[in-house]
Amino acid sequence: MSNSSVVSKIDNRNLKRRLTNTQKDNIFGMMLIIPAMLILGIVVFAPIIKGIWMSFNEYTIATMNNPTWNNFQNYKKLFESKEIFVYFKNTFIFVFFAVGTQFVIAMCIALLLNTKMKYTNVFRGLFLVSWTIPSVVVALLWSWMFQPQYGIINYILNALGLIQNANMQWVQSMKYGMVTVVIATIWKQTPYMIVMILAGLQSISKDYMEAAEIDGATKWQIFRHIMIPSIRPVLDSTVIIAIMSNFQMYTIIYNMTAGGPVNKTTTLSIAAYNKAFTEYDLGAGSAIGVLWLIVLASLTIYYNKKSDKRNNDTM
Amino acid sequence: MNKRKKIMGPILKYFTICLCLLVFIFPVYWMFVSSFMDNATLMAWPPQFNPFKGTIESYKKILSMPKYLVFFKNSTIVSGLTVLLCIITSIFAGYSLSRFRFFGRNFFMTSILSIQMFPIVAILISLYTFYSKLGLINTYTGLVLADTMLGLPLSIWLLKSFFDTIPTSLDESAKIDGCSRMGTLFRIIVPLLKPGLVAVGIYTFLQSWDDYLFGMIIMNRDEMRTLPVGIAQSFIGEFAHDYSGMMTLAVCASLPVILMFIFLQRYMVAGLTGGAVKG
Repeated sequence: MSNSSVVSKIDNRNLKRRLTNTQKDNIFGMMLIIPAMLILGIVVFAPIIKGIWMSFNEYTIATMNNPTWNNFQNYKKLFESKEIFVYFKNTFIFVFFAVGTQFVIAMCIALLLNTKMKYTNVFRGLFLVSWTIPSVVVALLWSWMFQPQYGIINYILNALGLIQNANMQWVQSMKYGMVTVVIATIWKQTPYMIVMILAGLQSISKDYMEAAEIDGATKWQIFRHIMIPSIRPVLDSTVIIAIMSNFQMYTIIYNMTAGGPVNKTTTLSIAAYNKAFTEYDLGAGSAIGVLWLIVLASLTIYYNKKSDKRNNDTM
Repeated sequence: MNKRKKIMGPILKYFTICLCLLVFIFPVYWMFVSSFMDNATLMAWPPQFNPFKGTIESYKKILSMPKYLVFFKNSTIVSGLTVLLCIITSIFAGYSLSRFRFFGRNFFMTSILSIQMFPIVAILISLYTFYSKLGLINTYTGLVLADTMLGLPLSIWLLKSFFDTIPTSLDESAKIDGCSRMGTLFRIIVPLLKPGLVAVGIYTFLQSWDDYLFGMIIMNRDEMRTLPVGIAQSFIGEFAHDYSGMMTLAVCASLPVILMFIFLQRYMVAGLTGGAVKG
């Protein structure tokens, strides 16, 4: 009787000590997260909340000190003038072509680099150079290459006989403004995607491919039914990151076309910037930001639901 | 037939890759060539492709203008401090997320991931109002904090995945040997993390060196301006038609990152892909 109570007492004490130890650990863990949380709280979450509040107010540089509720005027104006649809359309066009094209190019190059060959790492390194070039420089460099009179691109295209007009307008033309911006963006971002896809491809075990080859699978079948499913998570996360970051794209577009000509390349970020810092209407700028956040958040939720469902189906 | 295929296959492959590479490298080459030409040569027809026939006049001109050295200095200070701040906070946060299961952990992880979704311009608009009240406009602190936010989510995520690869038994044996919690982290675990730290450092440096938007709004005085903003503004202003000078500035801004990349490439590729491939 007394013996067993002693045992249970020791057990209890041990349990207590263990619990407090893990609790201490967890408190330590929470303390470690505080610096990151503080920084993100100050420069991300507080501004986002304030931005949402600003978007419902008359908030210009002049009325900054006493903003007033303006009954959805910021949003009404955006929708009544239909400009918001133009911004969304431009953004979607830009993101779709920039990400889609770089995905296709990166996939092809990564597949080539993944075959049995020498100097894979050297090639990968050389491809990555354009990724390190600062965005402002990318914008200036491509504006210079697309320059109508002295630009190298007109010279090359003319020498190859692809264009008749040696002084063709690119960046400032209604037709090709968006194309030039997309090309510059692809040039900067594709290398990153090549590296990610290549890393995914290299992580696939060779056994699967050999087994499939022995079973007489064609190259296309191997690609479609072994490679793609194996690197699906890498592809998904890489493409999602590319989509998100191209929604944000400001530097290259602004420094090449500044949103012109006639709003042809005005994406959401250019529009929000112009509203806030050239028209000094911070409330209207924030309203664009809020609409943009709503659209991206709903796309993300939709994607998560779909991928959950797909995971359940395959399992 | 079969033999011919065997020889032709690889040749075709290398040829395709070299062709793709040419397209990607040519603009960089052209930037260097243009920076070594005077404007008369650049505007001549046909273009001059050989950089050795050029001059270094543009470089002399740029380097003799003190304001570009100031921009350079500002960018270096801001990027350096950003890297430091980002590495320290993400070591703490990454270790914590990898080792401890505390209340609010999942919430924090999802909120880190959702940051990428937030419109940076919208953040900047309200950050600007905060900063003007707090007097952080035109200060290094203000810009460093803002730049840190660009790199922090991925840095935390990457370092967490690096911490995940280090077995917890190491922590435990350090603890048994009487090491404090902080001691365990900095004396035992962090030294094993060097490749991860280098990767995070380079990534953060590239991000803040590249930043244009925050720099433009937060630093509006000439002596505080960072390099990307300085370059973009001189392109609108004094270098509007001086393409040679413009490309010289472009080379000066890219060279530090290209060189850093060449020396540390191995770590960077491992770091960038390590976190993503493992998932």
